[in-house]
Amino acid sequence: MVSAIALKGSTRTITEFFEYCINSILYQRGVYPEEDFTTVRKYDLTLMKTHDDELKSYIRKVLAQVHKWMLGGKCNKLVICIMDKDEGEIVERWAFDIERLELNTTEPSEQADDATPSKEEIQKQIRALIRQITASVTFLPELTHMGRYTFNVLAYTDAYATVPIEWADSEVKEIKGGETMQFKSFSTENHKVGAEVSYKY
Amino acid sequence: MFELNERTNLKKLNSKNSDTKKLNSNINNGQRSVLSITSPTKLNIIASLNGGDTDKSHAIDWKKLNKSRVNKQSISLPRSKSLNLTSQKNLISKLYTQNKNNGSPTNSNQSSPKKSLFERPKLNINGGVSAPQLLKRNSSFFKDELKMSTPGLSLSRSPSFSNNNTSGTGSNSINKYIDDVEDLLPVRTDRFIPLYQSNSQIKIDPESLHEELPPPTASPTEHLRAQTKIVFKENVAQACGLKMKQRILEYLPPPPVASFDRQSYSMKKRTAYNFSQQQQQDGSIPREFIKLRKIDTSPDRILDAPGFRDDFYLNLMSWSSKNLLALALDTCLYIWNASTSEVNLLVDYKTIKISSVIWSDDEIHVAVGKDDGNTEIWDTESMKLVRTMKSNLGVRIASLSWLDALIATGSRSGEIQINDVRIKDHLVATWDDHEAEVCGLSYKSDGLQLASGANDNTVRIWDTRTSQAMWVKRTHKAAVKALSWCPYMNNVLATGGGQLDKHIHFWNTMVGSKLGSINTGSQVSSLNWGQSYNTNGTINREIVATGGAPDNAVIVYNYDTKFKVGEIVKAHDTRISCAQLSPDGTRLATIGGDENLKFYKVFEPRRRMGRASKSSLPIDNINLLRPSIPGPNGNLMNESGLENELDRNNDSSARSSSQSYFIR
Repeated sequence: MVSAIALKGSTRTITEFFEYCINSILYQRGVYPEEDFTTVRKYDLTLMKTHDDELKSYIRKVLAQVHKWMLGGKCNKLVICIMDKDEGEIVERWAFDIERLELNTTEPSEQADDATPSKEEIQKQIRALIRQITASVTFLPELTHMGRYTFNVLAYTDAYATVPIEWADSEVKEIKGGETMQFKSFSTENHKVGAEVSYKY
Repeated sequence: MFELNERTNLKKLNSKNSDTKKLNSNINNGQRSVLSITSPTKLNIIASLNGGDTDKSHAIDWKKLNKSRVNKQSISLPRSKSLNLTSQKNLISKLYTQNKNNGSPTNSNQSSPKKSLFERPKLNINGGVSAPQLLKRNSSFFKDELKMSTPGLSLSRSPSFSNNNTSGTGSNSINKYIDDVEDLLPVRTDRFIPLYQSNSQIKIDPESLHEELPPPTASPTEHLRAQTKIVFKENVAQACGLKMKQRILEYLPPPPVASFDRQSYSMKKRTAYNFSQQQQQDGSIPREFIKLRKIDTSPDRILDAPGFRDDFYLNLMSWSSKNLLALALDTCLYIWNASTSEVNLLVDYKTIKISSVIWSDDEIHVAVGKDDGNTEIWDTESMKLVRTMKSNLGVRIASLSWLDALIATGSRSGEIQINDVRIKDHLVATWDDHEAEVCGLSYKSDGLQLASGANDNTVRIWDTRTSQAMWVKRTHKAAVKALSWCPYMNNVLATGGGQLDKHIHFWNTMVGSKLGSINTGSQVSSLNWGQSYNTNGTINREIVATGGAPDNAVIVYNYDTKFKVGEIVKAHDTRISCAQLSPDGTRLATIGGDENLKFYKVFEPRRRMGRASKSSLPIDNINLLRPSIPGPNGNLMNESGLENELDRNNDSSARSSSQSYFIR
């Protein structure tokens, strides 16, 4: 019973994190113009969030479905591909692994003690991760020709997940011969989220 | 029989709940999964259904089934949840009767194929309209089907079916024929190799694995066979690089297109104060339901304007605070007094056409931009020419904007020239960043910024102190003529694009961010801010846009909600080229290609708010406005030299403001 509530909360935390993360990536990598973003305070950080209605609702739609899948434990990876509009070539691939932590209901006391991180702890981890993502701009190759890139969202789901009509099977869209950079991870009560970016070297 | 019914019911229940997809893949799987449809077991099951029972009802069912299959194919949705439940139920019940009758249907069918096996009804698998590519197997069964289907374009029952069994090696001629046919097909190999070209079709249907588990009553060999099949499929999938337990899904709708703008001059460090956000947070303003504004759709007055140049890029009308309307008709400039309806011809150039007109802030002088590139300043009281300023560009001046004694002129070749009317060498600055005709120019009321819109589809917001473009907005997709600074919000600029663009964008000119957009559905030839009031006295910030085809409408939008709150359709017979708001801010004068000048009442009179006068700006701002020419002693000397001038200036502006139109 407790875990059901915790699961909801945990999933919400992750979805929210994804929202800010996608916004940050789109801003940092210049997929959308700077003026479409405003600053917001979140996780004790100043983050950029879009105020373009179209983009906002697009991200929201994607994440609403991912959220649903996550609640059912059906989604185990979310990928944001930044691709060249003209050539369709993937230049960057941001992948977030979602790992569902198995709850040991037999040892509730231990759970409460160390396994479940506190809210502050989660925030701290998220902050560290977002900082890393922000900082990654320094080593990522520059995306020349602003406005030439677009993005694409992939979700790795369970084979049995119900799939709405907007989603269709896709290839992996990996970058061939690219480099991969692993980021920190954070874990909530029920999930562990890892992040990595691969890019054309 | 009773027991059977129970089981079907149970199955039905299941199907309603979770197994719907499974059923779907079982039957209506024409294009879903190659593996599942081509499994011989299932085909046999399907075939045997007819074989087992030769009832009339079943024949009808088959038709139904075929229909549903055909429908499914013709719709060709990537993934459809629509189930033909009736046919499925029938099938299920049949499946179970089979089970009852035969014990293990698949086994019996495979080991001893009855004659009835081949008496299958038409399966429109490859003879139909859209043939899924599933004939890539080595099965002789299929080869034969192929052979039969291609000439007649449909499967037909034929004795040749009985010829082939599992081996399928026919005579040479047949083989040759098959080879010929296979030349036409994309895949010639004898193995199933998934195609990577289309992403939506390649996938392993996990359901297809489980469906083949025989019923618990089946023999152990049966189970073993089924298991082997699953393992085999998994191996095949692995070899093809497909993961069985996972699907990679892509969100198909494309993300919104980025409107890309780069700024050349960065002022990012400034903090933004978001007015609307602040208000929402406070929640101090009680919200009202949005009401449609009542706007009189018939004009107050219609005047004839013969010879009006219907050119989108020109600004041929200006309405002063003293209620004088200056209107350029071809080569003539008329001053129409809106209070007395008197008309005066100010000047007739005879040969040279007028391309822009604007009143100065002192309401006495009017600047006239001409086709030959000269800008003239006329005194309307003495009706005399005061000064001619040459642009030396030789192209028409399509836009003008006054700032006190400075006048900015936008030329067809893209230059913006800043002229000081007080000094001999009037040209104090030339900004030539625009690449096409500058058709919109507007100083902000405090003079710190100048907005310019041009036919190169950009809006530039200039810092008048540094003479550099602070922001370059490339969001519009057509020429930007309509520019309007918000009178009651600092730093808010509305810009409207031309025929291809149809959008109004709102900008915060300090931080450079876009505050919102409206799609108007027609070109935007002018924008004017206005207001209406709620019953509780709160202001509705509104903006009126004039457009062209298809409606030639005057449209009022609410700024905060971006909703269209009022509209006058067919305000003119042709597109509206210019529009100006009256000095009291209630009436909109519109002029269009139909050579009519019409006056519409669109806004309520302003309350407690006089018209912000540019001349009342603080002195230090004026100092900053001067294009700094660093002398040997720095700027100080320059500024002290300016003091006298400024004093005079302030005097005159005070005089003029006392005379100017005040709102009741």
